[in-house]
Amino acid sequence: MGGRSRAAVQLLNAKGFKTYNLKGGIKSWKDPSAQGPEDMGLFLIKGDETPSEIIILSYGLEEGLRRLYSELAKDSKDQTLLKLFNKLAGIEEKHKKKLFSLYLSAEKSQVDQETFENKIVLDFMEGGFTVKEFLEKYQPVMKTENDVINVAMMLEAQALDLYVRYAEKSREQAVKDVLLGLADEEKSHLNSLANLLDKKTGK
Amino acid sequence: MSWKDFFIMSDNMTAQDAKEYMDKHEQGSYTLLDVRQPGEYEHNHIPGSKLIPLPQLLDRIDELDPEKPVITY
Repeated sequence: MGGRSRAAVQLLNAKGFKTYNLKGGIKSWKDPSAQGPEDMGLFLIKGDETPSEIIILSYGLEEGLRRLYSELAKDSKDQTLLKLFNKLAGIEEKHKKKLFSLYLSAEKSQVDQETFENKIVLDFMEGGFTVKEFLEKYQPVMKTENDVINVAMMLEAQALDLYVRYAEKSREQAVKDVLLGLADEEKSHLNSLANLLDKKTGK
Repeated sequence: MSWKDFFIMSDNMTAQDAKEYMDKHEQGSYTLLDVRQPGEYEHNHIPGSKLIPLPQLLDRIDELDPEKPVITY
């Protein structure tokens, strides 16, 4: 397994890159991984869409995460968990605001956030899964609090993954910067969830 | 590329090192590169990885920023 990445290290070093090989490959990676093909979630991202379209998609993703955390908070009996879910829902709300103001400056438009969310984003996201469907699908595997944290981590990992890939596709520096900033915050969410899981499993 | 290049020890990073590195550095300041095949990537990959299967690496090298360190697996 390690052969391919070592070869890659050699090729890249010869071209002047500073390259590290991940020892043990993905098998040694114990943190959440992301699933899906390279173009997953990029079905609408061809690299030629307007910054606004990328912003709209990201906004939809944030709203999905926010709703999920709110739903999970409703079901949480555990105070620590309840606090964390509420906090995360609050942060996703802030992310939405950030994306919305980015949208305003990209579009030079005068729309208010509610109209933006209900008209523009929902129209664009038509056909995506709803949080309700998602919860129905995952309910059977969310029996314990640890399961719930696991699912949340999986989603955060996917969001982080998508932002990094959207940022790479985006040609606008301002959009790139915001997306990478969001990715950094999702990364820290992932760490908060991981710490909570460690505490719960008494690591 | 010279024959000496084959004897350069590559810098290894354990998963733990890589995780710490990623937590300390901002997204976009480094490249996480998956050189496996699309099917393997689809099955699971480290969040934020870019996929360039090894056979295509040299043809697609201009997709990588030489200013940024690369962590590859």
